[in-house]
Amino acid sequence: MRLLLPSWLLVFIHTFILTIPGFCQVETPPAACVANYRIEVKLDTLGKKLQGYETITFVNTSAKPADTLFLHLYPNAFQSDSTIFMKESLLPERFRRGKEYKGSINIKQVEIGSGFDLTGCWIIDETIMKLPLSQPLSPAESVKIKIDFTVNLPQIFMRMGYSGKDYMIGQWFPKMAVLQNDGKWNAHQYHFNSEFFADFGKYDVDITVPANYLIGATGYLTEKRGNQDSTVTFVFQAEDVHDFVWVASPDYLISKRTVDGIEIDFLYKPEHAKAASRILDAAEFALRYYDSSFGKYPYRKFTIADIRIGWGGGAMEYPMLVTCVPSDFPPDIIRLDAMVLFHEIAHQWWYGVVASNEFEEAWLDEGFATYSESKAMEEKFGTKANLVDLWGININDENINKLTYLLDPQSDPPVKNSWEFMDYLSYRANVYSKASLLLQTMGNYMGKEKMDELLKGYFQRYRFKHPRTRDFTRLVLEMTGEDFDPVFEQVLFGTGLCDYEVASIRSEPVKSDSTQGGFQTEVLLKRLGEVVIPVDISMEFASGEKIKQTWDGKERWHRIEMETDSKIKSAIIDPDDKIALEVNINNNSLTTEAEDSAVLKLFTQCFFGLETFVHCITSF
Amino acid sequence: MKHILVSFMEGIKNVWATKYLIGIMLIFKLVTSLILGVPLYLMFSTSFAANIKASNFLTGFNPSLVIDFVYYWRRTLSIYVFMFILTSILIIIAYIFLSGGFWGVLRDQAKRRVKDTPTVTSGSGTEGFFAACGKYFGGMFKIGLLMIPLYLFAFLIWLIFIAILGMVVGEGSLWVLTSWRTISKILIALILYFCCNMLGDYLRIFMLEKEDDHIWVVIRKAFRFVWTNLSSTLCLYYLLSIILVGVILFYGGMYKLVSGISPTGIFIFIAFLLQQLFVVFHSFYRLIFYSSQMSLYVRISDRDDHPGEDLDFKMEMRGE
Ligand SMILES: [Zn+2]
Repeated sequence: MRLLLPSWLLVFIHTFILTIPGFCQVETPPAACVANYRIEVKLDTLGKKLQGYETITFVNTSAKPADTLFLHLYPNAFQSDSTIFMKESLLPERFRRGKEYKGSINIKQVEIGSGFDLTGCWIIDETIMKLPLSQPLSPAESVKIKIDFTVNLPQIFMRMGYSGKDYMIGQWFPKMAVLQNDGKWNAHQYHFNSEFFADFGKYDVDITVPANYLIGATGYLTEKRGNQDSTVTFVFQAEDVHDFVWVASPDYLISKRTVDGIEIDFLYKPEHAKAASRILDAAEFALRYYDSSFGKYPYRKFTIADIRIGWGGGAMEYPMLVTCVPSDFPPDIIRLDAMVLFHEIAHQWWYGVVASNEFEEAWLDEGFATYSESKAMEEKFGTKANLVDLWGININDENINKLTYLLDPQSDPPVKNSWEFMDYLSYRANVYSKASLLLQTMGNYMGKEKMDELLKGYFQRYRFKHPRTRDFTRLVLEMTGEDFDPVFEQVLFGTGLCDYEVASIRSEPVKSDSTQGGFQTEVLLKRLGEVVIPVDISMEFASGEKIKQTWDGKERWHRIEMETDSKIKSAIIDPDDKIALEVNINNNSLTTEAEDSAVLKLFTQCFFGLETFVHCITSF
Repeated sequence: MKHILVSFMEGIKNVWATKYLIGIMLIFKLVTSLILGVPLYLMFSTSFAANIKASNFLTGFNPSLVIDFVYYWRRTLSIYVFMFILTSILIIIAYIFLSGGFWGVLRDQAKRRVKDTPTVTSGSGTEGFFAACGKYFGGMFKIGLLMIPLYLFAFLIWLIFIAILGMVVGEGSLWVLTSWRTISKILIALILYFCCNMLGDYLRIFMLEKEDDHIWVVIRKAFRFVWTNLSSTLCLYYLLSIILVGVILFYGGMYKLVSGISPTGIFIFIAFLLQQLFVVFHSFYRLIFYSSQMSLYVRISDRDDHPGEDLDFKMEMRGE
């Protein structure tokens, strides 16, 4: 049965509902439209080229006039082996030298305002283009920039290019850098360790590809029209996004699902048909979970594209689209697909909507996404063996974070310009894992409810606002009333470790000659690392009695002395495993009754393993 | 088929008659494993003996403790890994030395049983054993080196097989263990490994028998022997292997049963005993491999030297 309403009633409902505070518009304030793009692009599959024409409408939202415009020309990172990007990269030689891995962007013409030709006036320095303006652009004033460009696509090895008939088109068009409030441009070269930062805006993109191609992209498909030259043009529109990506392949199949009004498309290669429902299940779970944990996903469309983005595999996030190649691992034993998708989908909130500066403070995106991924894995698969469940080996997502963190915990702090990290390993260990472990530690200290509220509050307040680290740390104090600043100072801006130890425990009779009476008990605690965080201590006595204390951890050591009725049996620091950042939980406890059986079990198993090893190396 | 079973039974009898070989094999494994394992034991007891959380290990694997353990001992472990590799090489050389003794004693035993040939190794018992160790070390070492290109060649064949498989049916997923593609890859790998291993055994037998010949002559003779008696040598080898796989599966089941209920002291001990019983078994069984194949060789060569003595046996062998 269909219910038809008179049009005046519809208008009334629309007007009335949209003005109720907290509904719709208030829930989803549009982002400031700073850089808006109208792009027409044609894919040349023979020449592996893009022919593009774009019109950027840029608004000066800073407090000062701008006399030069800065734009990113990301594809130029691949123009030779001597670019900053390639020199910093640890890529194998074939990618640096191979002709097929060369890519670039050629600017053919630039017009500014109403037809002022800037051709020849621009200055290009690798991936940055400067456009001097004849007249400064005043605050709040806008300017139109028209650019005619071509992109030579490399074979995909770093998030962009072609692989056979498939195309991964990311960071492909001349893109405005960010003009800060102080009138300075936040325009960095494309570095190997760095991801991106841009203003929000509106994108209207017409993509023309051969007629047999299927496309996935940021935004909503509003039109698809066939052309006379056996090509087809897809028209996409997106608002409140800060980048535009698209993928194309003639092999793509599509599987759809609608979740709470969001249409999820999974574009996949035929060989991954079996994975389609599993991928959509994971996406559905993640969208729902993050919606309820952080706040509403502000778009009606979400696309997952099955395409390799680089030589080392991996996945990547873009506004309203993520890439994910279904893994070959048995999904019930090693839940790699879920882990990758939970991570990339979490980026929709942190990278896509909150959108901090990834050049300079990548942890605000990657650390949050990694933490969200861990929580989603816990929620979906439990706290034990949520990543690997194989032959009694149970590994959690958080274990992987800890492991990655410990690969290089001391070379760099998480808050640092991405290109200033010692290497990719240090970037990964600190920006992703250490940051995630910090959030985990905070959550353990303040409790789940407060942490959930905090993240919700952070997302609500800073959506579309590009917050900095200090915005987050201030909000923590404001919302939770807990002063984490000393911890932030050491963990986010420092390279120290967190390592507490129970150094010794002992109980002596008060009177040495008598068997009656109490004991003088002494527990010596030490802080071996630099990170100071208050810790709980739990002591257990022979009588079964348990005593809990806390230590602020400020000094390097702390001695607990007390008279007790019975002898001490054991003492443990951080009994509830609150400190996810602790680098050695094995020295967190001491017991007077040695755990011989555990050591024996471990050793006998290793011993048998060694016997088998000896047997094998002598079987030839 | 009869002579294969006879060789197999004789193999068992011969090993049983020289039980001290099992003892030597066992002591070798225990001592070398202990050398490799003692540093681990020291690290384990430092990190876990007075650690309340270590009781987690009793009920399962705890990745957090292990990750922190590895991080804490990272410098020691890097030295340990280096020493481990070095020690392993020494273990291989030591085993090559001992294998001369195993093969020498078992050869004498086989000959005694088949045709009352006088002992070739001087002395008896462990004295004879160590004499054979010394005597055949050079030859055994050469064969050990020879096995490297043999295995590489087998690996190459395997790669070619995979390439052909990939060309014919396309690349499949590595992780779908149950796919026939993966199963066939594993099966081919096993068959190639078994073939090399078996060839190695006959090379050693011929090295012992034709000790005055040049190594290349030994190789030629051994290969020719295996080739002309392929059905017998392969059948015996696969009979031995299948029984071994059966025992491994049985052991796996038993161990799972015991480890499932082993949270404390006595069960850890039972599990350990079970493991050591298995080690005794595979020491014993490796000697059976050696001695069964030796018996088969002695029987075949004896009948070849004296045709007509046991027509049934020979006819069967030639597949008539
Ligand atoms: Zn990420």
